[in-house]
Amino acid sequence: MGEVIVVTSGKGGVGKTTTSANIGCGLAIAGKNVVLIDADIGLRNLDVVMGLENRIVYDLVDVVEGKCRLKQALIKDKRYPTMFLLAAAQTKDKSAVSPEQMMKLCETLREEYDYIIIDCPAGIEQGFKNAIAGADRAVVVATPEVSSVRDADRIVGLLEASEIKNIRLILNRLRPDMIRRGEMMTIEDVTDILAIDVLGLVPDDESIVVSTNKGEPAVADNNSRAGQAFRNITQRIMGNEVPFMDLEETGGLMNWLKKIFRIGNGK
Amino acid sequence: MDFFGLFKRQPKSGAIAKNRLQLVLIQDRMNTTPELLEMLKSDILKVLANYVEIDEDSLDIDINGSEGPALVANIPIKSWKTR
Amino acid sequence: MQKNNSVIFKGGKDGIIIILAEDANFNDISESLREKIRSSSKFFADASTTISFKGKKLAEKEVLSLIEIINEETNLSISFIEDLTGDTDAEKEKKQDERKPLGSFASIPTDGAYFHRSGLRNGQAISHNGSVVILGDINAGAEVVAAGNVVVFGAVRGLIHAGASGDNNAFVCALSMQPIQLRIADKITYFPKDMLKENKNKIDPVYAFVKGEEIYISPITN
Repeated sequence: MGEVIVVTSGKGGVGKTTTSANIGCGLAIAGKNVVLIDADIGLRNLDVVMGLENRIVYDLVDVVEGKCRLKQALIKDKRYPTMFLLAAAQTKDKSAVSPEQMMKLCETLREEYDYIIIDCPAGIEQGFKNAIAGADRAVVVATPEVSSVRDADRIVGLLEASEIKNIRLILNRLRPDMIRRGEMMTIEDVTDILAIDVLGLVPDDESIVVSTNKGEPAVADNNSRAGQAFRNITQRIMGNEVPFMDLEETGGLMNWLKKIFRIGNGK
Repeated sequence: MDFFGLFKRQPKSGAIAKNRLQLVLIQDRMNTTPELLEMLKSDILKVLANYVEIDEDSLDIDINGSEGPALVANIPIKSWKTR
Repeated sequence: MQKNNSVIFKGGKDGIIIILAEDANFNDISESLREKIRSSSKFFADASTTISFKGKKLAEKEVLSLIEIINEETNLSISFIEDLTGDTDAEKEKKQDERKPLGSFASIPTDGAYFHRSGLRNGQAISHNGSVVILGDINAGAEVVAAGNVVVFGAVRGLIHAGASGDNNAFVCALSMQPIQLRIADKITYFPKDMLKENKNKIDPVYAFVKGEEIYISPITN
């Protein structure tokens, strides 16, 4: 029996889609059977981040309206043979999908796949309600910024109210240099307010922009630090304990000089 | 002389992104739906029926294109119709 | 119309005061009570409170039948019923003074207080016609509106309004006071941003109260 995980945040632009794509790929690389669902209504993003934008023939609304069979709509990714994508519809009709339909879809998928990752749209409207309807657990993505944490708090409240018990946090775009200078909230600042367990800490990393440009999720890139963070997150989702990585950057000329002359904490 | 250009280079991701984006936007703007494709298919069949007999079960028409959108069709011909 | 003013509700520090018009007959009072409760049912939902009757003197049977109406029309859990009807003003004052000494913590009423056994998240709100005790943090975007006092075993980062029905004697206390906005009765205050930044995550028990036209904050120490 599979597990349905909804990736949500409240605030837009904090990394839900990137996280969904990387977790999905990470699990597929680990050999699991995965379905990624873009639960947005009207805007499509997950397909682009995955690099599958030209493969879409049928979407979520087509499935729900019976215009096609589920299998026809699931796009297979040649790079990750055990992973499939169900794309969002470009319809503007908010009522095109209902929570009940999502629940039924998740039930069907649970029987055949190990993990179903639902990329939730921003906000708390119909799209959000649909996305959480079939979920067994939730991953809340936030960045260490005031508005992101506020929105995440709202979302956690709504998730708790819908009786989703397993709610964990991914803190994204962390910049340890700014945290050290006191220009960015600390991880404790965020967890004090949100009061949920941390699933992962992802550093701010250029490689994410590059990977989205190419449509190749960073989790597959061994040189990407954000990718490493997502690999760790994948392990934790599968139940393996992995220590949190050291977010401090270990590269760079200054650090190398510091190392040579043993100044500061050059590593 | 461009020494570095002598070696085949992977295009930078920014260029890849721009390329993909252009493609996606064309698709979005054309707003092709499965129904449109079906209608296109049946219209094409009607016209072709004036000239050829087609194996309709093996007919394959799709919009594809790694170098830009193209209507790609594979139409197995059973026989030519005499005028 | 006579009927509409037969019954008037007032929120007090620890309960609801029902004022019965002296010249109304009991039937009018009954009907008026039922109507008024129905039209403001969300104010009376699920709370625990004391009820005080003032004004027209009623027979015990009549008081009981009014209580019945309240039980039928609301989910209120009545913790204490007080019949102050028929008392002269002086007698009433005396009774009230004896019952609730002002400005001392010994008088935190536990009867009629609403206990919330967790914190409040952004978007959550509590409204209670009495005092409220929160066991947890009140996050930014959350609200507590109480006719009485507000006691928070945690950090206040949201909005608190104590003495919401006009009681200047209401107070707010918390283990960490970093509210978005603090209101007591009709007074309002907000904290300067640098003070909020300093106080972050420090446990610093304080209480807030009204003095004159201002809200004062004072540490809770011996």
